[in-house]
Amino acid sequence: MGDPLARPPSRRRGARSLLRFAAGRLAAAAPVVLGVLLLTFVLVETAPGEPFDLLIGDRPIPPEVRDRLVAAYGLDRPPAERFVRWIGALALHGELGWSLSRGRPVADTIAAALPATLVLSTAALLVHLVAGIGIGVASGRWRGGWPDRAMTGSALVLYSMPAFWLGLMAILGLSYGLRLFPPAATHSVGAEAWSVPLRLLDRLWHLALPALVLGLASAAALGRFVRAGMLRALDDDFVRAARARGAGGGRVLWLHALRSSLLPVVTLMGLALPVLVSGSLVVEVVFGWPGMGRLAYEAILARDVPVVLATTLLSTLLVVAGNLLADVAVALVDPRIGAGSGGPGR
Amino acid sequence: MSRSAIAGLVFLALVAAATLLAPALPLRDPADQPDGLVLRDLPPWSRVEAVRLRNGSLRYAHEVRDGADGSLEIRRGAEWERIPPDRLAAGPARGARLRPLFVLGTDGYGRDLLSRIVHGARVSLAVGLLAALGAVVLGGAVGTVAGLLGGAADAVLMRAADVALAVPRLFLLLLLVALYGPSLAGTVLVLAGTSWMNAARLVRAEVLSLRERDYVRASTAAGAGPFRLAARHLLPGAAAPLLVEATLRVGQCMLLEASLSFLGLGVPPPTASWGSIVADGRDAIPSAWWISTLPGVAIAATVLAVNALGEGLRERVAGRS
Repeated sequence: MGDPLARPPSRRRGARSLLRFAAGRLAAAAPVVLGVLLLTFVLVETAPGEPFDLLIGDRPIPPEVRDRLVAAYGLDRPPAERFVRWIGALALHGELGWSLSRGRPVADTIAAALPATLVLSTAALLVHLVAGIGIGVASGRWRGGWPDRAMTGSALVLYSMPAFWLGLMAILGLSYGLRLFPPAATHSVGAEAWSVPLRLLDRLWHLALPALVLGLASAAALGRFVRAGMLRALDDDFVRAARARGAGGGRVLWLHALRSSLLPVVTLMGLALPVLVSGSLVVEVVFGWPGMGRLAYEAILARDVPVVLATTLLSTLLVVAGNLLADVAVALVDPRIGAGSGGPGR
Repeated sequence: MSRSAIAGLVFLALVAAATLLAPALPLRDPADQPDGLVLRDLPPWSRVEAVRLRNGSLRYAHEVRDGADGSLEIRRGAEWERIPPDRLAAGPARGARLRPLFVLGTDGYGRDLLSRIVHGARVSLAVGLLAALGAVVLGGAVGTVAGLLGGAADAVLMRAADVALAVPRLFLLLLLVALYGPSLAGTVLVLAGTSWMNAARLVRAEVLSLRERDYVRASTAAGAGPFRLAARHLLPGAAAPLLVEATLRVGQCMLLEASLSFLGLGVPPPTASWGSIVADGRDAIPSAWWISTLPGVAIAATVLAVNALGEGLRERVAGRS
């Protein structure tokens, strides 16, 4: 921001450079995905116990049967070869293995749980963004005053609460106490027979509490971050220049200051997404939400390693994909990124 | 330091003192289930009728009344039972009657909640502190090596940090518990092993900026090896931000430990931790709200104190440089 009176640079630019940028981000995400695959593979490899322990239970099996099983599953191959085969099967056929506790392919169990998780995460992400930005902007607007202190204080308190407990307290107060929201499940009993708008409302009504809990639990960190950005921006030359040009308080606040402090927010999403997905695990357990988190939890109680492994991989993919989308969104908004060399301060 | 940071410090000192002194405090045994019928699900600040016996133990009752010739009659549920005077503690019969107080109430097994929370603090605090320490040490080592060596080692280590950051931690923790089984040491190791990335980035940045300073270059020119360099010049420079990171990390690790324990995958029973007490009371939420609520208040208050302290330290560090 050299010349304080300079208008923001034009946002119009070639789709090609954007595409190139997206491809670059994709290439940068690949090692992360590969690293996660390697990490989980090494963890499973080095874990104690024999591969068929879980399948067999306590009954001993004859060594020749065991050897046949080992050969049939290719477990006598060197680890490197198995790693490559595993990834190959994963990438080419979406092969995730067999769920020992449910007796069906892991991919099926995941496919059944994924929509619920996506719905919950998306709703929570919305809550996270709206609440986080709201907290940040309000704190920035009334800096040092009581709204700021109240917001900063409650953000710190929220940040210090375990999400599962926040969920239980919400159930206690809002479901059992005030009877505002249902304590569990994704829809009412018998809702299948209702009309579509009613069913949709019913779904939203069931979604509200888990999404609020999950979103608010992680919104606190974002709020603190946005507040810091707002304070910095409000002191910055370009905001003063806008004020000097006669821009009103609201316009300055929402348009100029917020916009300049939003870009780091998208970057921060890279850190918020894993927290959100992690949080969805406990929130799903608390609210009986039939998503991937609860699937992982039930799988672990049944010691169903393939399912836990698959949910770990998929949740990571979700995070990586979310980050990619966020990066591309930034590039769409911020002309400094993606146009060749990147921009100042990046 | 700010007032809230000092308040946090004082609160933490109190919690630490209570935790360390727990065995010496006048608390009931946290695992003891003296009377599952009478003491079940008592709300906070409850008093119950009790009779002290000659052998020193207490008999709890729903109702106590005087019987014939100095005996006492107690009712548990619908049944009346006569306790002859020779089984009662010495003194006049009235003196054997008590009304013990349960400050925070009891859980579904009639266990004293205050005692369980105070004793549960030990696991929560110890795991949080040790895991944060491990994370900072591990992250410090990775960051120093990456910053000092640079090149391929730096690239590999920082990629590893990216990978570790991208995995939703709780899923990874579940996977590790599924593979290795739950244990105290395992919980600490796993938490440390999934929390080192921030410290690593921080130390690496610090090392990179310090490496170019004159006094560090002079030291290198004078023949100081990388270990000496790290120990004498680089790590002291990174100590202040690392302390802030360590403090805030304690809070995060305590929250993660609570989540694991809540899911029943933390420190195995019968050891209580705050998270597992919340889980114990989960099904009783509509009827006995205090069992899940109070240990959660303990978690939130302690983590809040840790965070307030960490923020205070951060402001100090930022103000100094």
